[in-house]
Amino acid sequence: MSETIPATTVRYALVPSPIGPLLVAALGQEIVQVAFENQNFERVLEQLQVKFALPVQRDDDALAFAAEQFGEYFAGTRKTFELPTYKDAADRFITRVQHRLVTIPYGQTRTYGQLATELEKPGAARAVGSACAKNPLPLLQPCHRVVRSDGTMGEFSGTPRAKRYLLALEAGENPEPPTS
Amino acid sequence: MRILSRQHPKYINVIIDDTGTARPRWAVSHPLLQEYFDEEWGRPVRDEQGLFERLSLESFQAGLSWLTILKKRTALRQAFDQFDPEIITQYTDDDVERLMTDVSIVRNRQKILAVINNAQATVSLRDSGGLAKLIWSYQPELDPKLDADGNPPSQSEESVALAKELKRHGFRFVGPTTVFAMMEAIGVVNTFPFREPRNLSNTPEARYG
Repeated sequence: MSETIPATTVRYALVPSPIGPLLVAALGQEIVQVAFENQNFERVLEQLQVKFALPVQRDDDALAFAAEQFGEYFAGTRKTFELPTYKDAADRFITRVQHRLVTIPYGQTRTYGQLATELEKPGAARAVGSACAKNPLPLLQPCHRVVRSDGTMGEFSGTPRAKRYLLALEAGENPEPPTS
Repeated sequence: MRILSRQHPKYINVIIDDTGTARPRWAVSHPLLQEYFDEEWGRPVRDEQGLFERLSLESFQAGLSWLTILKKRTALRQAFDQFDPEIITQYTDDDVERLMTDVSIVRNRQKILAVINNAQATVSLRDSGGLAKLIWSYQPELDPKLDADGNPPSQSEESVALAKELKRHGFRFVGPTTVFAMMEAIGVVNTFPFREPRNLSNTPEARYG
């Protein structure tokens, strides 16, 4: 068990993956952010600093416990993440959607409309899409498992290729890593 | 660092700093205002979410200083889910109460309700071309004239017409003055011709001579 990190700094690591480096940030032991390269890491770090009003510092060692699980996920040997995540306190539509994502099992998908219905907001499929696109914890809260009702990819904070890769990985297809 | 500045020889409300950069007097009264003027004000915004945010901020401003709004902007974005109209259409009474107790934002029930109402109006507008198309269709041929001190007017024929049209589509808190301020801020009109004239045949001298 690693020592407890004082939660006075947001620490982050860049974790390599087949879909490009992931930025993984934590406050203490709680993961606060997972971001893809296309989201512009510099901007993500700025937003973290504003959101928590704390300094943000790179510390790959402090995030090693999380990096290990991402490695296992991409190797296909981990189906469920066991990482504590930071939960926004306010009960908002956007957080209800994002928290609901963890109920979609590995290898399965839902449509935006199905998720809206589950949340007792039938007709709010587009708003569900917007909420998924703003998910601060992709992979941990698996927004890649939500697709359009016509079978196309839909909203995602990473690239459409990355989303396709994740769905193929979870289908056990051993996909080729996307080149960009 | 102290910046030496002087007035424009003709317009007392145009200030020129020691690098030769001209700004309106309001934009040199606080670093946040200067940053906003330098980086955002008057730069064209054409995406729906960007326009919805700026329209919302302008409607929050009514009766307050723009500096107050800028100081609260990060908190407002956080509180209103980055002004994503789609998400705001899902707000309930709980969200109104959450916003009314958030000391970091502008706690005015009418303004908060207007933002939620306007999010719905923005989404509904998509069927007829969308918010961006509507707003930009009110861009005038010529920019408004400045007065003798270099001040722009507080509204225009187009802002009166656009305000009326927005109200017809169900928007609230969008009077002609608020709408004109937005039109300036998002680059639909240029009321500061001393920076990057839109095109060379339309120089400050030609327009304001």
